[in-house]
Amino acid sequence: MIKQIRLTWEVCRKDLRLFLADRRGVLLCFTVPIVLASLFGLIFRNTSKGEIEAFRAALVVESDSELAKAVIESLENQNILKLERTDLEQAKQWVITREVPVALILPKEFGGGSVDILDNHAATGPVKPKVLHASGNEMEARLAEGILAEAVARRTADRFLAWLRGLGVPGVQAMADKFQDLGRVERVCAADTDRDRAVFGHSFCGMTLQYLLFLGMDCGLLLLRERRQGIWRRLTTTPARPGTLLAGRALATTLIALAQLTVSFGFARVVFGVTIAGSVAGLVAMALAVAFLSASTGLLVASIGGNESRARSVAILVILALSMLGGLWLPPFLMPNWLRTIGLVLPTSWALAGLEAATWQGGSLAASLLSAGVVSAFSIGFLLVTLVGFQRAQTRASLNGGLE
Amino acid sequence: MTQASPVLSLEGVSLRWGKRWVVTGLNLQVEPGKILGFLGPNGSGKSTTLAAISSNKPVDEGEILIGGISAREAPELYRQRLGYVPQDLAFYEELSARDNLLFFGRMYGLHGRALRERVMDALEFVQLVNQAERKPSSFSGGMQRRLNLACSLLHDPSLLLLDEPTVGLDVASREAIYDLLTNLRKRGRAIVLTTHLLEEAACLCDQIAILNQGKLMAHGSLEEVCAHLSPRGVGYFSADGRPGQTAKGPTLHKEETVSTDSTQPVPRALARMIANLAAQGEAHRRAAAPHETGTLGGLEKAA
Repeated sequence: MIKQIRLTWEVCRKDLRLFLADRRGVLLCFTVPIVLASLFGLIFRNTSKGEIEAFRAALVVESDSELAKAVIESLENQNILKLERTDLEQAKQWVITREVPVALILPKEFGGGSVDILDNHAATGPVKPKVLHASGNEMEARLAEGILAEAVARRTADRFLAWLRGLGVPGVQAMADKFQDLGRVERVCAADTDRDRAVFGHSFCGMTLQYLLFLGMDCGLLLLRERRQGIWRRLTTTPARPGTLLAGRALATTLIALAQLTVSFGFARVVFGVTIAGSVAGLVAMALAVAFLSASTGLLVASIGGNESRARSVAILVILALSMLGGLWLPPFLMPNWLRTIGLVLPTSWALAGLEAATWQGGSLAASLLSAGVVSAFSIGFLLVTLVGFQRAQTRASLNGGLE
Repeated sequence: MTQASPVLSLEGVSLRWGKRWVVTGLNLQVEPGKILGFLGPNGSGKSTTLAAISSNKPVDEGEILIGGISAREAPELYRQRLGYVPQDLAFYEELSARDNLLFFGRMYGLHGRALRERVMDALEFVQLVNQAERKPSSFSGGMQRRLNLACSLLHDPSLLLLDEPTVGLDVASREAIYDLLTNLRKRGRAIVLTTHLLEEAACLCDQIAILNQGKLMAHGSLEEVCAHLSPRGVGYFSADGRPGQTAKGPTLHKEETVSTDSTQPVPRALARMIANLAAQGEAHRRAAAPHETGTLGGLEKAA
């Protein structure tokens, strides 16, 4: 047993030497995830700096009512819609040609009805303002609808309360004062993490995880190359057992993955201020689990992928799918519900959840340990499939002509 | 004169893949200081036998022993006595020749000064001392083959197993490998090799084993094998494998065979091989005769 452990270490040492022998490869291995994560972070930070990015919108004003004037004043004081006044025909044309995503329309009788209700008790209902949009611009249309509705509601309420105060009835005046702030909403950020740290925290967790899977793939391909070159056959005639050879490879991959995690998160800490807001022990557990996942994914690739080029193609496809569905690219809350449900059966989404809990989300140790446990269970499953795959490959190779 | 106890013994070995038996009832022995060459057409069971000897395939019936030890009983000790040289160049091109040897030495439990000395010995033996720090990717084909051999010698195995050790080499590089193997034979190593080069079998091997469809057709020295497989004379088969006119008898029909197994006709490829093997043996006998060395060819002299 001790001899096999020593041989495991010898295989691991050799794999580390092979890894370090390619200095350019080592440099890329550590810098690529950092560059990718930084780029993703910068992109998402710019698109979500606490405010929604402003966009152009047409404004058609056909009404000259007091309410319309007040609503226009409100709209001019917001900074999400960059309004351009035009007539109805031109606005329709702009929307159709997608020069603007939406057009806000205050029709001719807008404001007249509501004033009539308050002042003249007219029988006709109020005329509604409209938001015109092209299909595909539903998000912008909803945003514009919200902004317009808020402006109309506030200005109508202001006018109504002013009218109440104008009645001069003491009780009603006090009631109007109480109603003044009704409908005002206070926005509070629940997490004690600033936006930059959250954005970069997510991008570093996601991109590092994705790259660790690619690292695992490379290690698996190295194993396939060893089989093609007859090195695996030579090694299996040494006193080392096949399990020892696989364990040595897995250990080397795990150590490289741990180094990569350390470098990536160290960079994120120094440059972008991503801290360990959660449990340090949880982060260590997650790092070990994720490194183990990288190693077992590599061995899985080697056992079921066939030859090197086929294995590479299949592995890239699987890793990209796991990354996308597991939320490594986009935060899960931006994805549809069905995709989030799929994520529950993927190791990547559990790995991401655990790493994020331990870093920028400030989650508990229990949360990280749960994720680490699930990720480790996936890894053990991968190793079992690997062992079966290797036995089958050995038999198949022999049937196809004895020695490989 | 007492006979040395065999290094390798195959006792009634039968091997199968799935339900198909690919080797049946194989009995062979290789003594120290002897080279056994496995010959046979593709699919004859050579590689499967080699896989079983190298413990990469379990023995389904019978027993394979190295120095009296079977892989079933003591796999680590069995492998410690075995040096396997694959047909492929099975080393790491990213590591220097010395680092490759250090790694493979460690895999056999060597370490420290003993390992360093063994590595130096191996480098000297294969004449690569001056190239020790170079990566094998910059080596010539012959140097790579020598390094491939050296990787299996570090733990001083009593049995060396070589799968087509000279494939793809030019004549000079092949001769260098023959010299190394002859030296190892002199040092008492038992060597088993497979080859498709009949000249290699004829000039290098003390014993030849010819396999066909999983059965041992003949085993012995070159002369014994030729006499056994071609009882009507060394010229029985023509070079293209057709039965021919012999000095001792009439023209033979194609259906007539010289197989030891009468139910199994000799395939054309094997017949061609036997004819060529006999011719190679004859050529080496003639070349060796003036020097009266009593060996096949001039290899002992070259070594």
